[in-house]
Amino acid sequence: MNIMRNHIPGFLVVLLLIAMVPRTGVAQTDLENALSQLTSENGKGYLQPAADLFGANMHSGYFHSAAIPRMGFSIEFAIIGMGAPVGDDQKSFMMKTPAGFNPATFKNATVFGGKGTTVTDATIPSLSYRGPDGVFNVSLFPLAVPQLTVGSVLGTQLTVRYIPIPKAGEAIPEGKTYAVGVRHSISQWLAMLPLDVSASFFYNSMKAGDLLDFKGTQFGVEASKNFSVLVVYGGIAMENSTLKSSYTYTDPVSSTDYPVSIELDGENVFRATVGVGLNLGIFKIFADGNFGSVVQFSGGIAFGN
Amino acid sequence: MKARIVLLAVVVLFATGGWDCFNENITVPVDVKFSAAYPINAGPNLTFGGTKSIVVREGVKEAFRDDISEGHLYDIQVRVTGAYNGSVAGSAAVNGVTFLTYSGKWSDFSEWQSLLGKSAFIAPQAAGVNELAAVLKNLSPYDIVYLSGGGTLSGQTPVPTGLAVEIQVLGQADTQVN
Repeated sequence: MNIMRNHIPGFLVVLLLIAMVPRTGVAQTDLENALSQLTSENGKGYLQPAADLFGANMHSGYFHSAAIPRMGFSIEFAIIGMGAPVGDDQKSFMMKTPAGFNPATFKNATVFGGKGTTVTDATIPSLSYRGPDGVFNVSLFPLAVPQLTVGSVLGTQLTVRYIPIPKAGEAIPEGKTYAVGVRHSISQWLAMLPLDVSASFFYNSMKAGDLLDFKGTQFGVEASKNFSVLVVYGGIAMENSTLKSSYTYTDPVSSTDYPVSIELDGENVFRATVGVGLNLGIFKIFADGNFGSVVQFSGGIAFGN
Repeated sequence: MKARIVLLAVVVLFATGGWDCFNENITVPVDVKFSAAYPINAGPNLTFGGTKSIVVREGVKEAFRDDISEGHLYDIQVRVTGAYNGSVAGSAAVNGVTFLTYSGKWSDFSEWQSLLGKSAFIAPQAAGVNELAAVLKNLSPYDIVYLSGGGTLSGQTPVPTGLAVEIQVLGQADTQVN
């Protein structure tokens, strides 16, 4: 460990973090298999927590200061880590049994749950039905993305995130995730403000074949104040996110394949952000909490001017 | 040096924050269907019957055929195909143990009649249902299940062509995905 502490270079950290990202792609094999056995309604219940937490994660970490120069070249590369705690209520859902089965619903694992449940028919005890296991065993749903911010033109910055998701095996579709957004300095027009203030708009997307198609937008207002190397920042934002998933479900009675397309809205529509960071020359480190329907945390490191 | 330690701390934070976070041995129940059709010969003979041998893996979606284990029985269904003016009564058995009897007008069975549908035209037989459940509980891809069916028609004679009785056993089999 001491050797690592002494010799781990900054670029390796970046590579390590980016290398972790395709592991979310590996999970899609499990996810695809689990989904192919679920009706549309059960698929929605199984995936809804992923839509909620993924949406909340993807909309975080866009900023760690509201200070934007009016003119002049600036560039910053950051690695943003996000995590949304997975609550107990997001680990199970009420799954429907086949028509006529008693009970009509039972509590089963979501994609974030543990083992699936087997339920016995109350009328004919020899009949039973089982739901799928969860895929992710986490108390915190994490993501990490690289982020590049360039500016400034009339107090406006452009921020971009991009990660290709490589194809892994025959079952995992190739995909990509990206985000793009702009932030504009408000405080440049209001010199009397004691804080830096900016307004922002971001759009993000993640697509892996037809299995997962996520899109979201966010409008926000941010403020920050520097105290020497310490920066305190915060903001409020309105946002939306939608996770679409398409897969083929085979009806067990008729053996007919049906295309299933489900659309899930992320729970979070408003967030308040409070964060703190350190500006150490070209190196910055920051962390924040995001509070709305989904509580979520993000943080990261950045290099740039 | 301090910056490097901070960087390492960030890596450790992310690495322990749930990246190695997939459940092990994820079990997904996949649909299993054993179906057998018993054609009824045209002519004066009003009885029918036969036994179908079914390789378990053929009742499972191709992607999962070789990786199935414990299963669950959740429904049994009967229907007829073809047009007949009369009634039908019969039974179905697995490995020689009767799990279902049925009786009614031919037209009553033009749609699937099922246990879960609480059909008044079919009656489960506990010993046979238990045998079916046991077969499904101990699934192996290359096991063979013998589904027997037989019965009697009453009414229209001679029997027209194109009649058959179909039995479906619906269940699930656990498969582990990676």
